[in-house]
Amino acid sequence: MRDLASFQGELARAIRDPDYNPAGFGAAGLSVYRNTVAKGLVDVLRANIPSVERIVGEDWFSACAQLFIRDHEPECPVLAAYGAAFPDFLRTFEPATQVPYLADVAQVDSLWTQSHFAPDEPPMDPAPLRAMDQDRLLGLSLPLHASTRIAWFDAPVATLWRLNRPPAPLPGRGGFSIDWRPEGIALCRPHGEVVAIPLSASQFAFLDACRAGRCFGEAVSAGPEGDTDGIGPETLGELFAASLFAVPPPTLSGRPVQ
Amino acid sequence: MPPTVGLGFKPQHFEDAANCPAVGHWYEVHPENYMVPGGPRLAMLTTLRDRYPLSLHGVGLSLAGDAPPSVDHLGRLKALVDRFDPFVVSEHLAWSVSDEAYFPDLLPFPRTRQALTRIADNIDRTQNALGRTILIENPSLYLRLDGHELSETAFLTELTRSTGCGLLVDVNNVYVSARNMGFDAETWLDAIPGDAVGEIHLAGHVADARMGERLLIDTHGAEIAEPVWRLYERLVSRIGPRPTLIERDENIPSFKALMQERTRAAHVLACVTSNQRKAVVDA
Repeated sequence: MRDLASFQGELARAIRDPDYNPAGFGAAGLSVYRNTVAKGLVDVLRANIPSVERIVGEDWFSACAQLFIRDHEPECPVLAAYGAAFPDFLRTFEPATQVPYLADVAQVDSLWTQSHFAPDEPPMDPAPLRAMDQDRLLGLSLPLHASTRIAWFDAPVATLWRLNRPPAPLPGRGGFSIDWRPEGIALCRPHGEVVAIPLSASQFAFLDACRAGRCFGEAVSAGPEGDTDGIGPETLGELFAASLFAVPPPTLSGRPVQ
Repeated sequence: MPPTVGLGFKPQHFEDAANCPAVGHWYEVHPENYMVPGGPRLAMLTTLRDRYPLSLHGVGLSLAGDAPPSVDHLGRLKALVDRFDPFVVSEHLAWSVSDEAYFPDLLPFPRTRQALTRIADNIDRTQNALGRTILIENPSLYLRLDGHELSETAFLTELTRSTGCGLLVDVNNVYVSARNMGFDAETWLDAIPGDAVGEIHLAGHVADARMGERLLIDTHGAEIAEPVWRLYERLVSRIGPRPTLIERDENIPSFKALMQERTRAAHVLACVTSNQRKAVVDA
């Protein structure tokens, strides 16, 4: 008679290894458990990273996902973050290199999922900042909202993601016309559901500097040299209005935050 | 009105679900899907809980594993129990964690005395951590294993005696397991101590694509089958009405279609209640 521990070890091995069929385990029953485990993980990956399947099709995605789940067993029954390693997997998965933006689109999906499940917190009210004199404003450093995620890509990944993220409609006969250039994206969830905001190079650099804790004065000049669409008051106002920042600490109303 | 028939909550049905006027209505969710820091999923559950009783039906404690349930996972479950105050908390007589790997399934084990002691201890630890008793559900079975020392009903009954836990009888799982393992479903249901049953599950199954009717799969992806309805009527006729869940996780139909199955189950419960009252009056 097998004790519980050795039985578990054997069944776990048989689920992982389709060529391992221990005596006493019926093949048909074993395949039910193997299929359920695999389907469970592939379904979670499909739900958490939905745009990849849209680009490559169901068969390719399923085959690729089967390879991913084999080497990425979850350690815990909470699967909200499962698939966070999928973008890096795609970067090294040779067949995926034929679609050079695929891993980056997967990364935006992963950031969307992170934003979707991030802690709830009220967004910053931009009104006090708009009324603030410029010197004081430039001395501020504000944390990003808990749900804010930002990324920069050398290709129009934000656009490709937006066009392929379900339930976006499928392209018509003419397909999509895409201006092939670098793009950035911010995802945040100030109220309700996640919203996506396209970012210019200077906007991304500004938010990236804010994320690192630098003050606005430094952050506005963090953009690439020769950048023509730098961070002016109007652009700053747009970013504030998009609720990308967390509520500032109470000291803001009394004195500049160092 | 105590909870009568409930539905497994599906986020795509949120608007209908949050405004369902059925008497005694309630919802059940897998707590693992709500163990997240924030976001719309928790917000929806908060709204539902403001309006309906809620059941938390876990899939991750791995109570039939040869290790105590994860302290971290118990902590996450306790936080949800404290926040949402469910009227029932349940888990499965199955395992899903081995050597820190999680398998998203409800896996079987040989029902030995050694396993009984281990699993009773795991249930004790869970109930102590949560500060309340839980219900244990019979899973659907697909492997004919050697080495069972107790029948499934004897094993479940022993667990209720030694831990004080209750039972969640999944009638579809009884039917599927009976067909796959070769036992009699009616005998199984008749052997369960009625007083211990705190909840009943109803769901659909399909025949395996290759094996056909010789191997039934508990997919939660089809309507509840007629033989399962008959077993349900038999069970509640014997033990009386119990909160009953319509489970659907695949091929999810409209909310209206799920409500039709709910109405049928509610009718069964109402008939049982009516017969019980009549029996009391006649006596």
